[in-house]
Amino acid sequence: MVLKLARIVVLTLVVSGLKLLPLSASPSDESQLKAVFVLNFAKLTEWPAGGTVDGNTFTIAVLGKAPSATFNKLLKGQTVHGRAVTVKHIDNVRQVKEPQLLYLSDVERQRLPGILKEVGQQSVLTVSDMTGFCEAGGMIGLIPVQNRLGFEVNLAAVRKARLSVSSQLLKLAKTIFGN
Amino acid sequence: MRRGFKRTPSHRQISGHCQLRPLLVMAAVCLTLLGVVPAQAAALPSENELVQLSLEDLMTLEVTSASRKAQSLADTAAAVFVITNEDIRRSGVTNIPDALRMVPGVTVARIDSSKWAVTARGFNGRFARKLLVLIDGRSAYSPLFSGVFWDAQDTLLEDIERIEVIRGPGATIWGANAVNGVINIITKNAADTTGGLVVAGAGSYERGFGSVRYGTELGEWGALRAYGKYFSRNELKAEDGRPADDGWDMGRGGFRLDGKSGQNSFTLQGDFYDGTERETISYPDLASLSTGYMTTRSAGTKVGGGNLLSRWTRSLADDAELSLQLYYDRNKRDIPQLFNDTTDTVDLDLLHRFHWGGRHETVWGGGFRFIDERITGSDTISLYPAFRNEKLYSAFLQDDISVVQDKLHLIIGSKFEHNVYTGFEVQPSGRLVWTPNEQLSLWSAVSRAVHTPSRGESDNALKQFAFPYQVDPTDPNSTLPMVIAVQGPGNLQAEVLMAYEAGVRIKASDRFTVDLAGFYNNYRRLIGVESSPTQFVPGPPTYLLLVNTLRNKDHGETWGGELAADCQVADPWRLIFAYSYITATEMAGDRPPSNQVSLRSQLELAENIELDLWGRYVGASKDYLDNSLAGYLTLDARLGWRPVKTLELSLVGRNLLHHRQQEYRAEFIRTVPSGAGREVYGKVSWRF
Repeated sequence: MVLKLARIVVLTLVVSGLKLLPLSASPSDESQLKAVFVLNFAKLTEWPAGGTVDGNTFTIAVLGKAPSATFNKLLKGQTVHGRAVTVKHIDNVRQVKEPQLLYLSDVERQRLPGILKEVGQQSVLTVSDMTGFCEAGGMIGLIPVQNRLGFEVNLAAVRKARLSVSSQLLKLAKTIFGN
Repeated sequence: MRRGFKRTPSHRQISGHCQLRPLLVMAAVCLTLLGVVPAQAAALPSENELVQLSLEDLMTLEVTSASRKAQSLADTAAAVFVITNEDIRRSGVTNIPDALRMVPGVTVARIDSSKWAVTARGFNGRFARKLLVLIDGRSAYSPLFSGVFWDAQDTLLEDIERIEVIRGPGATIWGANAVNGVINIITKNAADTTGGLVVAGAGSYERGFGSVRYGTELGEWGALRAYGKYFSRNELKAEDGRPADDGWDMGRGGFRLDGKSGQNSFTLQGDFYDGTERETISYPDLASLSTGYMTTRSAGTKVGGGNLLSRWTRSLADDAELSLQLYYDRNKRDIPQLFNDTTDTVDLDLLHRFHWGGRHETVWGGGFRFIDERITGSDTISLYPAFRNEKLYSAFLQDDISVVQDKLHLIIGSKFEHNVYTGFEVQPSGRLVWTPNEQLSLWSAVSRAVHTPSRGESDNALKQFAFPYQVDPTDPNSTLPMVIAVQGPGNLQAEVLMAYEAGVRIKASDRFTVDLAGFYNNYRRLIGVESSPTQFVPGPPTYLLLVNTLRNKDHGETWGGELAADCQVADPWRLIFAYSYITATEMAGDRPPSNQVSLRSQLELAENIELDLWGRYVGASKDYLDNSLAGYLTLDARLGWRPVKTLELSLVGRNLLHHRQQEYRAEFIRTVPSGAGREVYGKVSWRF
């Protein structure tokens, strides 16, 4: 029986003339996808004129156990609103001065209210893939939709930070809170 | 520790050539087509292409489930292992107990075609009672014998989101009887299972199986799915090599409705099942005592039941949450002429989680469970009284304190319960988690847990053996039948465990994680047997009776550890390793295998071809009568092919290294044990 099975396996290898192809679907897939989502969110959001620290860069701060390496690899060198993107990994919100975008992932839930309150005074777009992010006061939350990704928007939080998101973004959102 | 009713911590024998040939032909046809059918397009474009995509395009891309793991696993102060949907799919298992074989610290031993003995960290048995099993928040633990009837626990495996296994006392949140571990089976949200799925297959042991599921979105607020499944499984071989006549078949169906509206989310789900299992039971039959002593009879046991569960969760301000759950569960089991049982359970649970003081996450809640049992016994097995209602009241409180923000957490809590057998029980637990950086997480825990006796232990009267006994050694005519009976005293106390555990989680890189856990368990008031002097029963029929009464008279210790490692060796190749070690002092009951090893290899041979191998070693052990059970080494193999995105064909071979293996012999009721050997099955899975 084992021999028969072995013969089938060998036959498979021979007939299909295989080599071990690098699999496109590797474990970092989902993080790569989320990074590009974040890039698009940034492109479809408008920040108030003036008031940011460094006029030449678009800073994305990554907080929590998020895959900042993947974010960095994909987004470094991209441009948002004419500025070059830099990705910074931080352990707490005070480590970076006025990022344009804050991405949270795998942060302890009890820290969320504190973090959101801290950046609520600044014009920072908060994005996360944690469940219930928008309900907790976050601006854009990535959510699983079947086996794809979608997102929700908390419009009240966006407005409070004096940001505005394009209608193109709102059209694609699965849910809009605080409308 | 993350909570909520989702319990998220921050997955024979070939009987003849005739059956094999069609499968080989199918395989040959598949292989021939391989050269002709072009490989399916890649799931994701290259990085450069990805970055250029628009938002609309991004939303159409599928995310591979292999990368999805339970969040905040590193934050959990316990020995947790998660079986993902992908793990289940690629292991080729067709039932839940077989899926649990990949978990370190868990022992799964097959008793016969439809029965398993499953436990964590020792104390196995058909009625292993130190393990709590939940399916979507509903307890699968039978109050009758304090164990899980694994033949009745099933669902559409393709719709299981994940199975979380926690070894060690999970008593604080989950309650009594989560002494050695908790198995939490979580099915997918209805929104994640829209569309249709048809599965069909057959093989040497799996005579035939088929499932259908259809899910649909309900506007913007929810989704609904319904499924049906049926299988028919063959008999296995008894220890003497002969067919055991223990085949079974089961039909099952259910639905799940999930809805979400603003701050509220709601779920309603239900299942029903009905099946027949053949089994061969040996027992003393008083009617034929002087002639045959033991009667061995094949019975067609009927099992059936259904459940309905509803849960409402509301998000409150400041990231707080309130959850309310109500379910009804009915289970029936009828062993003809021997035992008939209908158990109804109604359960109500409340949970509130909130944050305060900037450092605290507190969870508290309460529950009420009402159990109604109606039992019809026989001379051989009966319960006194035949009708009993049980009311169980429980409350719990747990606080997760950030001693050092993000780095050091102290979790203390307790569960309080009142049950009809032992009254009031307290189960406190203290845990400490230290996460110095992203790569490392250390935890330790001290807990007290109890197992409250069940009806089967407290109220039972079972006649187990009968054999000829020569009363006067000098006179061969003085032989009388000797009957051994087991009975509960009706006033058993709870068994108590003091557990000391520690563990470390190392995330060496994105591709390699190691999880190590160690434990020392001290048990007191364990239920053992006390023999009474032999009584003479004048009858008719005339016999000698030796009664073994269950009493809390035993104590013992176990210690050991588990190691789990997950390594993405290369892009197409993932290895998952699990090792368990346990030592136990002399105690009543079975003796666990000292060592268990599981090694799974998941390999993508090409874009749409998977080759999965699963090797297992289980060391020698002893059954409850102290007879030895041989250790074994075995291998499962699966070949999967996806010719088009919506169709998956797979060929699975199981137990390939041995002809027949007896993994266990069950205690209490003497069912003839049987073992599985080499088998193979083919499966077709179509999504639309």
